[in-house]
Amino acid sequence: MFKILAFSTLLVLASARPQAELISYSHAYGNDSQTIKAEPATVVVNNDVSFGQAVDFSAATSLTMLTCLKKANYKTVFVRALSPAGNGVFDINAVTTIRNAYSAGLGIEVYMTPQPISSLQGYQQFDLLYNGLVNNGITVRAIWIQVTSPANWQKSTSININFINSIIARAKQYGLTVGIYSNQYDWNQITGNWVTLSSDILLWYWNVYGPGVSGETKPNFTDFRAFGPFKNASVKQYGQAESVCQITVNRDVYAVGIPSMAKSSQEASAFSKNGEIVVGGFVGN
Amino acid sequence: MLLKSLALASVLAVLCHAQPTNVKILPFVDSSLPIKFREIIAEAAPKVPSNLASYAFAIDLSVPVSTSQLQCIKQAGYSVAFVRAYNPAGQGSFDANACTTIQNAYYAGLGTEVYMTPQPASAKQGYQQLDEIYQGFTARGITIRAIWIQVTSPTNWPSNANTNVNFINSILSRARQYGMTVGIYTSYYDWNQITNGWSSVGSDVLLWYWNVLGGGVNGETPATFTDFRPFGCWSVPSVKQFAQVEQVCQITVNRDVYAAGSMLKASDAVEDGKIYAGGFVTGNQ
Repeated sequence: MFKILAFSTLLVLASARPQAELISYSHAYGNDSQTIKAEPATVVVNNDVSFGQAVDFSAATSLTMLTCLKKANYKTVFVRALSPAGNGVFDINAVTTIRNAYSAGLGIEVYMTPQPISSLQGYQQFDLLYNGLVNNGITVRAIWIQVTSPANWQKSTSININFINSIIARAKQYGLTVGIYSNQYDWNQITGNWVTLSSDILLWYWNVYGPGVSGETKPNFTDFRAFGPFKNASVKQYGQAESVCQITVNRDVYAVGIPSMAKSSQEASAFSKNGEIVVGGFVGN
Repeated sequence: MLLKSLALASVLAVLCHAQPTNVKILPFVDSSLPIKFREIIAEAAPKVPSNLASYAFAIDLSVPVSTSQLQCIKQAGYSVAFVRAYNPAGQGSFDANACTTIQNAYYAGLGTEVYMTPQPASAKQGYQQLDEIYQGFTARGITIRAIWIQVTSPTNWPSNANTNVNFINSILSRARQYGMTVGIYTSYYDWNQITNGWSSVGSDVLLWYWNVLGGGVNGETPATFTDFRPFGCWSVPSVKQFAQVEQVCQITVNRDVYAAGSMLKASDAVEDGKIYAGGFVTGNQ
């Protein structure tokens, strides 16, 4: 009897979880780095995932700022390439930011903040973004569609769903990976908890207690709960409206995927194709 | 014997592979089933801890409840029931169920608070909707001392923040005229979306905020105010809704905590034989 108990105990100990990992990154407030202990992930996320630090922003930036971000251990920048102003307009700032980010050796993802109340349909707004980037020598491999701020959307969930579908369909026509930037409450409000989205669509979710550093949640996915069609998340925005390297940014963590793949994505070959800058595809799932 | 211990060992191994101890695994319906979910199936809520000195527990609901159900709720450790007194359907109307629930709560020895889910798109102005509540209760011999105004779900509100501020102000002014304590039930994100962060609502207005990661037991946040960050004109909250759509005594409710010291005992209110609704959660420390 005792032997069985001892054996069981050994079996249990052998299956024990790995220790929590330490992530360190610098803060805009002074040059001292802060070390934050990452909590183990919940079951919805692959336990082998490692996190990359990122920022997302829509402002114009300089090469100095982006070099500063890279030194501050941010691996990737999420850049807005479509603004919701007017009927939706291409974000010309994005081109300069992308070129500077490339020079600084940062990974680059692009997102669009569409204008749901517009004379332009979803796919037309996507085209503005796509053509805008391509005409400036930038190859787009992935796009993130912002579905937040219910107050800015139509009251009819079916209109909103059709609008989002229009963007996704167009992006897929161009062979892009598609992700949605939203959260459970936004998704419920804007799409009525739409569940029949194809399973290859990635999720970038957000959760903060409020703006600024004091409103941050933990830089991990432990607060993620499956919703709508999304069973796991690829990116999380955990801090909003903070100053890093003199840019107002939001802060994110993302699943890098298998570490060896992450390393290869840092190589020059993944950054350019035929001399063109490539954006998107830095986030695993 | 060997089979039994092998089974025991396997169970132990599986349990230790489970999430960290602070995340509960509870049965929930897999959203990959072909049924499209808009509702969450309410599962039984976790028990109220008996040893917490600083927080007291409440439930909030909008369905009619019997005396025995309310007795059950009281037995389960809840001190107050927040009852909906206004139904936003159509043009909005007084929810007469509230009278019955409040009377039953009086007999069950449970405190009550009243909240209204207004109809901002109604032809009826804010103060008219408040009047319906006041008159509805007075006609049934219930004295209402406090009212909580629900300001959530941006998609149900007009997109003009000024219109919304005026609407809410209309309700607040009327409630104050009647000598009622006023509170708002919202979140920093709802408040931002609906009122554009209105910060001059008045220092007498209490705050009942909500934060969940999703519906049901799996989506609960801690039953504390630690995730509260100041917004609008509020630097401290009075109540927090930390769980949504769960079963308590076979009724579907949301669960709340409030600072225990701020509660009037139910017995204080019933000495004169009159039924009072509201005023059981008084202010912010």
